[in-house]
Amino acid sequence: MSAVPSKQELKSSKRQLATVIDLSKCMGCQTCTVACKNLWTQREGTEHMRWANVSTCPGKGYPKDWEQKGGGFDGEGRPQPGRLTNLVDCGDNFQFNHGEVLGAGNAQGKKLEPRSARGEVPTWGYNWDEDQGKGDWPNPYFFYMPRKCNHCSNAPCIDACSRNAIVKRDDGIVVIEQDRCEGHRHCVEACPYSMIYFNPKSQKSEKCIDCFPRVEKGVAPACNRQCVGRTRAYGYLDDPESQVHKLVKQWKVALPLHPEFGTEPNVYYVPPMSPLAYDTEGRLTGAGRLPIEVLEGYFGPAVRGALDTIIAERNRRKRGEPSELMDLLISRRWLDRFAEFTAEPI
Amino acid sequence: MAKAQAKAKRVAASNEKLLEVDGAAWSGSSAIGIDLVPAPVTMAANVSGQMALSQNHGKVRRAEARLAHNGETLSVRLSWRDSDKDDQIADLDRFADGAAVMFPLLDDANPLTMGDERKPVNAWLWKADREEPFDVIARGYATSQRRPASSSQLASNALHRDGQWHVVFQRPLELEGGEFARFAPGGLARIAFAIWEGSNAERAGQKAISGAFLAVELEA
Ligand code: SF4
Ligand code: SF4
Repeated sequence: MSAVPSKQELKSSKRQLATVIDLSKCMGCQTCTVACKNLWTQREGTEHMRWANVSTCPGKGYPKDWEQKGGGFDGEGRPQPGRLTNLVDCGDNFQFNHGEVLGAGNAQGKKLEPRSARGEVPTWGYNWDEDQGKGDWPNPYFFYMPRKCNHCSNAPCIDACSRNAIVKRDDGIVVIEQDRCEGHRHCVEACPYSMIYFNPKSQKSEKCIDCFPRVEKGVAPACNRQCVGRTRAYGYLDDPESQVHKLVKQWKVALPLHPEFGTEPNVYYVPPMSPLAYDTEGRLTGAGRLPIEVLEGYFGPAVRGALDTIIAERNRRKRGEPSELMDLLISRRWLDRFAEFTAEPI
Repeated sequence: MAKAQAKAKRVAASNEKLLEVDGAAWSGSSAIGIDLVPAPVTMAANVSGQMALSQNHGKVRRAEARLAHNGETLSVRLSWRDSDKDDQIADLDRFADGAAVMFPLLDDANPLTMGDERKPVNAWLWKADREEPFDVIARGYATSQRRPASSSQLASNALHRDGQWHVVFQRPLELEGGEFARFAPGGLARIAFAIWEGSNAERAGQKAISGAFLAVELEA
């Protein structure tokens, strides 16, 4: 029998695939969520799972309160304790009384009522706090946050698995080998992004697989390819021709979410531009509505430089000068976003 | 040969009778008191950084074991107090109760690490939410492999009554091939115990263990 592989072996890869999401363009349509759900989580035991999901920021997020759940590493690289999520945190699986409402003679008397997985009147669910955001009249603010597994370069889920069932592939995609998983859920505790879900039917943990069966055939992951907002780019980080490389490495305008978790995530976000604020008379003030401190809370101090770059390039374009960055963010040709992953899914 | 610390009585009962948790076949065998301690997890940091942070596992501190054989099979009956019966995983943050007995394949295998590369251990694992037990082979942390009960003709039966779990494991004394513990009338069995309290989120290395192997003589 072969020796037990070291965590370092399990965590390293030859290359790294990455996704960039432009938050100024995301409209919260959930097409990415549905594209993923249709492909991967229609099996029994996966009803509560949304490997790809979109929630409103600031907000409790999905799964509920994930930013407070713990896990990841501290400044010294020590793993931090984390808690498990439950069915309701994970968006529940509402059941409706369709039979009652649609049954003969009932149409006037019954109204449609959801019941939670626990059989109760729901008090939480997926996107329960959609579009609430924060801020006072006349300047409320929010933006949408599409998420999936970050396929971290320093993945604490790999460190956490006592079965060594979680591995990083040569292309950088992190997968849970279902044959080895025994459902102990240390990975669920360790992932500070709450991107691992327990399947109570198979009694194994599951998560986003970055659509690797598609990727192996040159097809971009479904969440990225199906995005109607043209917000998403995909490719190898070390491919100088890829948009992900240009946005992350060259222009440095795409940043990881909560870098302080110490996991080196590989989903990067172009931070949202702020809509302009109004004064009490309804006149535009020229100031932004989205407090920079709020954005720093998500993306760290680097968000200031990223926004400065984007604004400077936008101003160049306003003056009629060329801007490679604006061209990248616009992506007039949709398939330019996906580097070599432009094949049709058929 | 090491000195026996306890005895597995030879009984005339059938396998079926010995699988009955509270059957008369068990009336003659004396109880062995087992003290349990929280399994040390800090030394497992390199296999699970998260598990190594666990501080409150190992809730069950006392169990009672009875062993008997009928010349054909060895039966081990384990009882312990547990007021929360966790026999299903009702939500994503819930765990099932469990128990295991473990045997070294070579005498001086380390029970705390579940053996090592050269000295494997064999265990029988019962989980309250599963129909059948697992036969486990391990060569140290992170190497344990669950094999189907049929691989060793392993059987189990469990009952939760009056705030107590009673679990019986049963397996043929001798088996052809495979990496399985072997037993013989007149010989010595070395055995260690583990219990998982589901309501305390105990699973994997987060468990209560008996520590050193207990030497049990199988009556000739
Ligand atoms: S986001 Fe979570 S599940 Fe995905 S690689 Fe990072 S730690 Fe693991
Ligand atoms: S499909 Fe695109 S625009 Fe729609 S929610 Fe997802 S990332 Fe945002």
